[in-house]
Parts: sequence; structure tokens; C-alpha cells
Amino acid sequence: MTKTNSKPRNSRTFDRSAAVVWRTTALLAAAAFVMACDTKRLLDVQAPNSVPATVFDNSANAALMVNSAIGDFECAFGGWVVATGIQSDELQDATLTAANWQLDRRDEGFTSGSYGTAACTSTQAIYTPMSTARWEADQAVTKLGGWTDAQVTNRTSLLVQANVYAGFSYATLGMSMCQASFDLGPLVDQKGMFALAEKRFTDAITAATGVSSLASYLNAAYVGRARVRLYQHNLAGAATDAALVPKGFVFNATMDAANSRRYSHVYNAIVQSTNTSVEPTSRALKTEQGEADPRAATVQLSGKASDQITDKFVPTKYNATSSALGWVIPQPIARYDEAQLILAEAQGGTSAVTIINTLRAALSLKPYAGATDATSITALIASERQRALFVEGFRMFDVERFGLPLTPAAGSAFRLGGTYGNTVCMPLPDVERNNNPNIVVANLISGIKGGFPLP
Amino acid sequence: MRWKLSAVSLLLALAVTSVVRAQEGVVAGTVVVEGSLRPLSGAQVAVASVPGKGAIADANGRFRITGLTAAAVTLNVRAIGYRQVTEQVRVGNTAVRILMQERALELNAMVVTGTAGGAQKRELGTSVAPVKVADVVAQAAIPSVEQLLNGRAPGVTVIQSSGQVGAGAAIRIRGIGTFSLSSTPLVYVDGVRVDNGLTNGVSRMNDFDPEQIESIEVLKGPAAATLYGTEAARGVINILTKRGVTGQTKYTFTMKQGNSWFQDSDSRIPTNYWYNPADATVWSIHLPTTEAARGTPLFKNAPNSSYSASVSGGTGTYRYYASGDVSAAEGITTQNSRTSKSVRTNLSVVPNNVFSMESSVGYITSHTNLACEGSCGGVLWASEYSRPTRTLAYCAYTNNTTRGCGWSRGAYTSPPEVYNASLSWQDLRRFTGSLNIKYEPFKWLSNRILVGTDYTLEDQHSYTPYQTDSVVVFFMGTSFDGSRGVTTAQTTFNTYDYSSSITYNLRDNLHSKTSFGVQYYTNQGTSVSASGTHFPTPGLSTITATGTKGTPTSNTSANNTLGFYGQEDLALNERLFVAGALRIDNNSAFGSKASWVEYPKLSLSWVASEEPKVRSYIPKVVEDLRFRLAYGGSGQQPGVNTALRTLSPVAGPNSATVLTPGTFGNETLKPERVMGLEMGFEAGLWKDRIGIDFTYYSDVSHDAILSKSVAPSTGFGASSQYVNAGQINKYGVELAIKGQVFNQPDYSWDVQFNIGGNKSKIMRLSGAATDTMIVLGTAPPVAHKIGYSPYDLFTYEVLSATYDPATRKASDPVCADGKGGKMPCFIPGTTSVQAPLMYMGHSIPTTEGSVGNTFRYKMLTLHVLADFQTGFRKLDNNLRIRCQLNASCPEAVWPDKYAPEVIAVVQNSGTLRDYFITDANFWKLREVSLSYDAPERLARKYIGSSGVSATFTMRNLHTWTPYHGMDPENSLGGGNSGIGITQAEYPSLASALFTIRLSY
Repeated sequence: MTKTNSKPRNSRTFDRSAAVVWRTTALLAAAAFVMACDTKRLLDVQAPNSVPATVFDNSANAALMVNSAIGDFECAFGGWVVATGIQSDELQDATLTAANWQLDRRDEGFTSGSYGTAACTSTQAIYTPMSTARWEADQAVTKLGGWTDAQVTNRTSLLVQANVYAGFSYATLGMSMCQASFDLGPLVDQKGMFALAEKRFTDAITAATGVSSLASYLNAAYVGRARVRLYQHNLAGAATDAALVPKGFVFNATMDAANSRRYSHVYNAIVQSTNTSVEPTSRALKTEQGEADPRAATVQLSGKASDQITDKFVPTKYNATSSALGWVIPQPIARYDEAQLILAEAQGGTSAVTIINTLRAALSLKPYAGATDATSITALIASERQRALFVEGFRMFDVERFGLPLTPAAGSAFRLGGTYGNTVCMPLPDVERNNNPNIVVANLISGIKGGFPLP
Repeated sequence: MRWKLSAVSLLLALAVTSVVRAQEGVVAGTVVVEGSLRPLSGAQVAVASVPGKGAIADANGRFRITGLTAAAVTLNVRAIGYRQVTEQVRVGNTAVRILMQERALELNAMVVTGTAGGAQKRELGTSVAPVKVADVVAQAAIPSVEQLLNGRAPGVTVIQSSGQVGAGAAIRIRGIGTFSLSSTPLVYVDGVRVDNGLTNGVSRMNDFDPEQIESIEVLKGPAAATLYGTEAARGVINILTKRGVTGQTKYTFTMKQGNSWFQDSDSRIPTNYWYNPADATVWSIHLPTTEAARGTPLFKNAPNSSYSASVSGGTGTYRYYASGDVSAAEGITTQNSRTSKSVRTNLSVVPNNVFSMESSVGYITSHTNLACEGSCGGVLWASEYSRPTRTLAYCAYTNNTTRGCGWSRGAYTSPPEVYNASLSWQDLRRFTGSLNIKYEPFKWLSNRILVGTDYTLEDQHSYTPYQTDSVVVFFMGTSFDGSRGVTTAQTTFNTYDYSSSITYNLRDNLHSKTSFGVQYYTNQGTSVSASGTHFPTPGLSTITATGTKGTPTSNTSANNTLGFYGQEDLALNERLFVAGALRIDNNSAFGSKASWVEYPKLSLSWVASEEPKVRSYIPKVVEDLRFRLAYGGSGQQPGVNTALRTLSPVAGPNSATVLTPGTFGNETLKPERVMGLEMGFEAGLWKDRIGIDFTYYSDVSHDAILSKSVAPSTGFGASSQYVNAGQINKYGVELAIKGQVFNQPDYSWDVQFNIGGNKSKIMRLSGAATDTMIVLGTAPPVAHKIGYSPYDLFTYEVLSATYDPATRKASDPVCADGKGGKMPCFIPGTTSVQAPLMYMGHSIPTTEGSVGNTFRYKMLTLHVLADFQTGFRKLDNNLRIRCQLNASCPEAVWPDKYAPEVIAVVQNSGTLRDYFITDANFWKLREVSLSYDAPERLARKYIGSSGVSATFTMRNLHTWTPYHGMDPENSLGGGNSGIGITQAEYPSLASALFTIRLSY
């Protein structure tokens, strides 16, 4: 056996006492170093990309908090309009991304789908971004409620704004989700969400009434409350609120060209990203009189969408000659025409016809001259809403609540494989179900037409 | 005048006489390593009959012994790691060539352990896998550090993501023991922690030039890596670069020239079909053929070359090594290439026995062009998924006159020139340097201070010029007018390491060593990005020249680790070694409520073959026998800032900046704490002609970290939360055998075999019920489930279906119900799945290894290495896309030739996928090299050098696999999730490379 070049250990002769002293000293020195060193300072690192969430505990940041809630709502709302448009018969997905087809195809039970998780800049975003906006707005309502006017400049104005955006967050979630949860709470169904929205709108109206500078928020709250009262079948209450909305009123999600979060989502999805187009059945919507409705007019753009298959159609009201102009197209959240259609629906009969014909007259469209029985009026209102509020986020819930036929029909072939499903509202996504301990699985709704009572 | 001539004649005669006498009393020659025939510096050459007479081989392996009086002498030649050679030589022979055979088992070799001065292998309770890089690269041309490790260290799995030049791999040591954190081992270069990331597909580990590396040591498992602390649970890779040796200055020049190619590209790119339901015609296309026919072949041969030079040498006081390398390699498409330059200067100063200093400085620049692949698109995408319906012929046949119909020439989605119109490249500048000072004021006290930095500057560019070609313009649509983007990222790793050891003799035969140390690591990253789209005219290339500027961004991240350790080693009779250690660590990524973490270690090593009372019980054939046992821990820290709840600035209304929920945070987040037990033995048989190294290990990952979705109702639904979610147990075995089948002066045959197998099992997951499963995705369909390995494959198992020949449709698929029975896959009348997800296999290889053979005949050496990975499956997403999305695979076109359950999956839109998951086991003929090492006299006579060798290396020549996809060893992306899927990546390329080495 050969040992090569190993350093004999006992060549390291030593002074035993010196070694003991040295070892003891070294260990003590090491211990002293650990004790004396400000090790926390050595481990402290800066995170200059982000801000601790506690920043909103400071009343000095109240305006920032409300603006943040508005910013998140506007992005979420733009994405939500596109996503619910794709789910309904307004828009179609035009990508080769199979995960995107599920929403367009109205797949049943795809609770793991991107509708539950996608970011607000996506064309699939329904649940997560709007839940974020809702949380922020509600957080602002809570914190502002705990502060005083002395602590926060313009506290009332901020409180009204927070309530308005919280109200619209609840309303839009209710218009698309069969069920939702808030703050890790239990399941809330669509009616429950509308009730929560009504509470926020009522608080906003209470605080804003009589304050001229808050008129816009007041009117938005009226439209919002009218909407959710209508959806809760409180027709009188809905009519009362809707009637208070002045002619020409519009409350927009502001858009700008600064960032994809701020873009007009519809314009960007169709014209810039070319990931979306108008559903073929909605490219030339007409009144029952056979007239093309300018409110739902579309324009065909040159070339194909990103899947290289789909023709590019964009609603005329979202088209522009350049991205700089297109990205700033505002997205209406609530407006006079919706209020009038709520009024028409709440009043029904000939009153409804009168209201609708008034709206049409402004566009030189022929008036409605058909039957005025309840069924005909409901069909008229549904049709009128489809065109008057085209790609503004109403169609998906209108299909559900009016029980309209699904287009294309369930069971028909989807152009890229599979068949259309029967989903009319989105079930609670897995991301909430799996991470919220207060969800009772047995109470979940599938969202399949006919599988649950309409709200 | 005459007397002057006589005097000169006398002097000449004396001189000649003395020269002749000296020549007669001289023995000189070269010591080389058998197999690689690399000169072996530092070998001790001693004359057996004359005590004290001898020499040490210099950097060229040369030695010279003078003053010998006998006619012949016996030389004893020794070097650590090599078997002693005894050879009788004639005095006067100045061309002696000593072949040193590597010992199959070397217990006295020094290895890096984290303590001051390292330790002898015999002292360790754990296995260390060394790769003698200098020998390996002398034997075969190895393109990257990752390929140096591939198949050469049991338990180390190199999982290639792509065959593109410059693309990196995922390295896994002993499988995967985490839910969500990185599984990449720590990498150190000369003691400095370095960036081990994968940036845009380019591995930072491959920045280092194999020609400049002396050896790589792999510490596997928590017990081996305890002293490396809270980030070392995945193992540690220590790269040691070459250093100068005492002796004459040595110059080496290496030139490499060769080619790479896409082996069997025509048969590996599939023919795609289309069944026209209107008239039942079947159309087909094979894009490589059609493109080659029009003079635009998809793939090309890819030349590559490299030139390097080094100088080394020194005296007893100082030693130096300097090296430079320039290389260029093209890929198989025009979009892929890489050039790099690197220099390295290593200095050692040893003024006395008390103080020594070593510096190590390396600088690297590279330029890597990367082609689109995978989900990005690209030529592989265009050809794998080609469609007959996109040809001009089909458009004409169907009277489709839509503008653009057929313009892609069958390519999917765009013709190749569209993909080739966009450029993406990475420019790198990297500095890695360290200063290592050793101070031994007493023989019993040694101190080491190491300070080093690794600085990386990456510029990631993307550029699409303004297009004018009508076809490209058509396919690019509104993006035809170009775009430009740049991201500049800087990463700095700083290492501050102090360690000290005190030796102490408790008794004459019982020695103690007390070690302690402190390490402080900082890691800072910054990045700045800018982009723009829409150039107004052709010829512009800057962001400034674009019409629409993207929002510029800048990011900063930082992470610091502070750790201390203490270790006590006891050695009894230099054959029984016991060590106990404790490491405590803290890290800036721990939660505010998490505190210091302790990692203990206990190890035992016993060289039984040197134990007199035991020796008689050990068969004589076993020359060396060592048993080892270790138990210890190390950790894995969570990601930067993951413990904090934050808000992120974003654009808001009225051009204001507002805040949106960022990370949800977790104030109780702790590192993963992995405790491991390791035991094994090493044996040297038949005079160390055969060496066996066997290891069994069992690791338990406590507090395994899971990136968990956050319920959107919290307001932080867009983020994920890192939680200490559960426990993963891992165990496995490793076996390495090295042997010499025969060895004669003129020929020899060496064999090496290694194999590593591992199993892992999730024991606990969020403390939930045993059927808990966290589905991570569908491409590939991987999930974490209790009782299974992390990242195992799960999908619906389709057992049968009904097929209607009239409609050519399969319907009513029946799936496994998870209880041994069957059930309809879907809820009747819907497309909603009701069947449970079924286990489909591991997505990560569970067994890997290699077989290497080296044959030598005189100066010729033939080396063959084949490696394998088994025990895993993959989702062949190429086939899935062709079948489910394009209906262009044979199964979709001729459904009556396949089983109904296959057609049910093929005709499904994507929910059912089991047909596309297949075994991905493979054997690969990785390296075949033939080397000729010329005798020194020939080298001197014809080239004037002291040594010359020529090597011809071929790589990736053949793959044996049941996998029907492109290449079973490639995967989509570098993360753990992406290993189980292939989709339009470049396969590993075959290559041939000719290398010439000259030394002076």
C-alpha cells in the first residue's frame, strides 16, 4: 500500500497550553464578534421596487390609496369588458392559445381556467383583477371611515369615490361570476353581490348628495344603484334612480397611452394585439326593422388576427387611425343610455317603447312598432341593450338573466376544436376555492345554463 | 597563436568530455497520464538506489536527474491520485516516458470542504464526486462545463433544454427535493460563489472555459454541504481553475475546428397531413424537403472553432498561470451563433511557510444569438407543425383566392423568413476574481481569508428591422415596421469567507482539529429595460428611432446571507475519523418572525483496510477499504423579498403613479431545512486496478417551500405566497466503478461505469389529507401529490371509446376511475371531465449514469462514452399540437388505423392528453474520441515543440430511446415544471471536432 504526499499530522507539533489558550481565545473572539456585530444590518436589504403594504395605514396617503383603487378598477374593468365580450356573443378569441378558447367556447366546469387568474391586461381577466380592485376600494372605504376630516383633506370626496368604485366592483363581479368571495369569506351569490354593491352606492349617494363637485360620482352611483336594483328585481327603486340621471351623462374608465394597464383594452385587444375580433354574428347588428344600428357598427381591418385565420373586425366606436388615438378611447362604466334602458325595463310596456324610440330617434333609426306584451318588450329591451351597449360589459349577464339563446348554440362545433358549452356565468375559480378555507364546496354553482336558478 | 589554438582545443575537449560524462550520468524524460497522455506536473521521480536523488516533473511533465554513475537505475515515480510506477531505465536515456495510471481509489487526495485547507478524502464521511477536467479535456473536446459533468458524476443529472449553441441545461443533484424553489446547486469558482442562473436560455455556468479548469468537485446532499449553509441543500459544485506549478515555463496552444449538424433532420421532422372532408383527399407536406427543393434549406452545417493559449510556471516562491481563449460557433440555423473570449490569470505567492496568497482572476465576454424556439415560434415550430392547407397548391385546389393564402408555403404559422427577420442576442461581460490568503503562524494553527466577487453584465437585445418584403410584411401585420428592445442586467455576488483550524494532539495517536469560520455572501441584481416599436423607415435600429416607446423599467434586488460554523475533527491512528459540526445561518429573505437556522452535522470515516486487527479479515484482493457515514443538514432559502407584503407602483389615472397589490408575503417563512443521512464505502481491488465507490443516502426536506396561489378575495390574487408547506423524503444509491481491464506497456483498456438512482416522495403537503394534489399545469400535466414525487405527471387515463367509421369520430371516452374501475371521462352531455387525474410517471429522470471505455495502443487512445437517463416520461407536445390542434398527424388523418381510445384523445381539444405522454428513457452515444500523442522526439523534430497531440472527437452520434418526440433529453424551459415536456426545441446536435495541442 502506498501513501503519497500525505502531510503527517503529528508533524504539526504544538505547544499544548498555547493551543488551548488560542482555541479558547478564538472561540471567545468569534462569540464576541457575533454578539457585537450588528448582524441585522448585514442582512438588511433594500427593496426599492416596491412599497410595504403598511403605507396605507398612514392617513397622509389617503388620496394615493383611493387613486390606486381607481387605477386597479379601470384596468380590471377594461379587461373585464373584453373577457365577458369573448364569453358572450360579442367578441371571439383570435389566438392559437388553446387555454384562451375555453372562455370563448363557454366550456363547462373549467374552473382552473385563466378567467380566474389572468391579469387585467389579459383578454381573459374576470375574477382576480376585479377582486383586487374591490379589495382596494373596500380597504379605502374602511380606512377613510376610521379617519377624520382633520386627518384627511377631501375625505368626503375620497370616501364617495371609494364607495362608487367598490360598488361597481361588486356589480361587475355579480354580472359575470355565479359566486364570489370577499376577504376570504364564504360564498356570495350574484344577488348577494348586487346587494353589497347597492350598499356601497347608497353610501356614496348619501355622502355626495348636495355636493356639487361630486355630481359626476353621484350620477354614477345612481346608474350603478339603478342597475343592481334592477338585477335584484327592485323595479321601482331602479326606476327612481335611473330617472335621476341627466341626459348625456357618462362616467368613464379613463384610458391613456402611458402603459398597457391604461390602454383602451378593446382597441388594444383587437387592433394592436390582434388577439380578439368581433364574433361573426355581431359584426352587423340590426334593429328589428332591419336597419344597421350605428351603435353596434363594426369595421373590418386589413389582414388577419394573430391566429392568421380570423378576420379582424373592431367596433367602430373603439376604432382609431393610430395607436395614440386608439389607446385613449375611454371605456364607459355607466351612462345615460343605460339608465334609460333600465328605466324602460323597470317600467315596461309602452313606456319602454317610448324610451327606446327616443333613444333611436337621436340616431335617426326607425322606431319600434311591434307588439307591447311583456314577452315582446323583454325581447325588445334585450335586443336594444345588445346594440346600444355593445361591447360595454352587459351582454354576458343579459344572456343569463333574460335566458337568451346561446350563440353559437351549445353543442355546435368550435372552429378550433371541441364544442360550445352552456356556461352562462363563471363558477368560482379553483384559485379561490383551493386557497380560501371558508368555501363550502357543496354550495358551489357550476354556471351551466339551467343548472341553477337565475338571479 | 599555436598555444592559443591548443588552449581552445583543450577547453573544447574538456567541455565535450564533461558533456559526454554528464550525458552518461543523466536520466530524463516525461511523466504523462495514461489515457489522456497529458503531461503530469508535480510527479516525484526518485532513484531507488540513491537516497535523495530525484526530481519533480515540471509543468510539461519533464524531469531530469543528473550525476548518476550506474549503468541503469530504478525509478520510483509517485503522484497523488496515481499508482506508483517503478521502472528500470538505462542511464543516458533522455527520452524516458513514464505512464502514470490513475488510482481507482485515492484516499489521500485533498478535497474542498469549506474548512481552511480542505481535507483529505479519507477524513470525510460523505461522498465527493471529482471530475479531473484537465484529463477529460485532454482526451476529448468537451464544449461546456455542464457537459463536463454529464455522465461523469453519479447522482448528477444534466437535463438539456435545447440544442442551440449557447443554450444551457438544468443540473439536478440527487433529484428534486422541493415543491417550488430552485433545484440548481450552488456553484463556486476558486472559492467564490458565482451566478449559477439561466438567463434567456443561456447558462451562466457555461461561461467558464473547460480549458481553464483543473478539476470540478461535486458535494452532494445536505450532509456534505452543511458548512455551505442555508443555500446548499441542492449540493455544491466547486470549480477549481488551473494554477501554475514550479518548474520551467510551459506554453500550450490549442486549436479546435469542427462542425455540428442536425442528425437525421429529414426523418426527425415529421410529414404532416390533411384530410379534406369535402372530397376525402389526403394532402401532405414535409417542410424540410419542400424548402430544400426551393433552395432555402431550413438547416445548415454549423462550423465552430476555438483557439486558446496558456503559459504557466514558477519557482518555489511564486507560480503563475495565464490563459486566453477565443471561440466561435454557429448553430444549425442562421439565427443561432455564439462567440466568446476569455482570459484568466492565476497567481500564487508563497514567500515562506507561514504565509501564502493566491489570486484568481477571470474575464469573459460573449455574444450569443438565440433563435426562437419552444413557445416562441421559429423554424422548428414552422416545420414541426407544417400544414398542407397552407400551401399554394391547396389554396388553388380549394379555389381559395384570399390574399396570403399559401404564402407560408405550408409552414406554421409563418414561413421561415418571417422568424428569421427578428433577432435576439445576449452580450455578456463577466469578471470573477478572488484573493485567498493563508496564514499559518504556528504549525497547529491555520487561517484563511478569502474575498472574491463575481460580476456579470448582460445586455439582452431584441431587434426586428422595418420589413419591406411583401411576404414578411403580410405575416407580421401591424408589427412589420419593426421593434427594438434592450435589457441591461447586472448581477454581483460577493464572497467574504474567513476560516480557521487548530490542530491539537490529544494523544500520540489521537489528533484533533477544531475549525470555525464565518461567511458573508451578498447578491445584488439590477436591471434596466427599454423598448420601442414602429420605425418610420427602413434602416433604423435604435429605440430612439421608434415611434412608440415602451415604458422603461428598472429593477433592483438584493439578498444577503450571514453564517457561522464550528467543526471538531478527531482522528484516531489516521484511520478512524469522527467530525461534528454546527452551522448557523440567517438570510435577508427569511420572514421577520423567522430567526437563525441551525444545521448540525456528524460524520464518521473508517479506513478499515489500514486497521491491523481487521486487515486479516479482509480478502487480500481488497487493498483499500473505507466505510463512511454522515448525518447532517443544510438548507434552501426562499426567494428575495418573498416574506414581505408589498405594493407595487404602476401607472394610474391622470398620469399619476399609484400602487397595486404586489407580494402577499409570509412573515413566518423559514428556509427549507434538509437533513440527510449518507453511508457508503470505497474499495480498491487488485492493487487498486478496480475502485468501487458506493453510497446510499436518505434526505428529508422539512418545511419544503411551496409557491401557493393566493385567494383573489384577499386582494392579492395576482401574487403567490411562499409557505413552508410540507415534507419530502428522498433516498437513493450511487455506484461508481473504475477499473483497468488490462494494462501492458503498449496497450491498455480502462473502463468506468457509474449509476445513480433516486426516489422521492411527498410525505406532507400543507398538512392536508392524503389525497391532496396541487396541479401545477397541463403542459406538462405535472402536480404535487402526497405519496408521489414532486413534479410527477398526472392526467386523465383514457381506457376505451366508441369509434364510428362513418363519421370518423370517436366518442364517449371511458377513463380510469382511480379505483381500478372505469367511468365516463365526461359528465354526460358535457365536455366537463368527471374522471380523476391518474398518475402517469415521473417527469424527472430517476436513474442516470454512464459507461466509458478508454483504449490505448501505444500513442493512440480511443475513448467512448455513452450515458443514459431513465425512469421518466415526457409530454410530446409536438405530437399533441399536430394531432389535437392541427389534425395533421397520421392518427387524425387515418383514425380507423388506431385504437378508438387513441382517436378519442387525438380528437379532443386538449383536456385528454395521456396518449402523448410516453417513456423518455434514453441511451446516448455521447462522445467518441481518437487521440494521437506524438513522441517528444517527433514533436521536436517536425514541429519544434515539446509535445503535440491531435484529437478527433464526435459527439451525440446516436440515441436509443422509445420516445417518439424529437429528442428525449431536451425540454421546454429550464425550470422543474418544464422538464416534462418537449415542444419545438432544437435537438442536441451531433458534432465532429478536430483538436491539436502544442506544448513548449
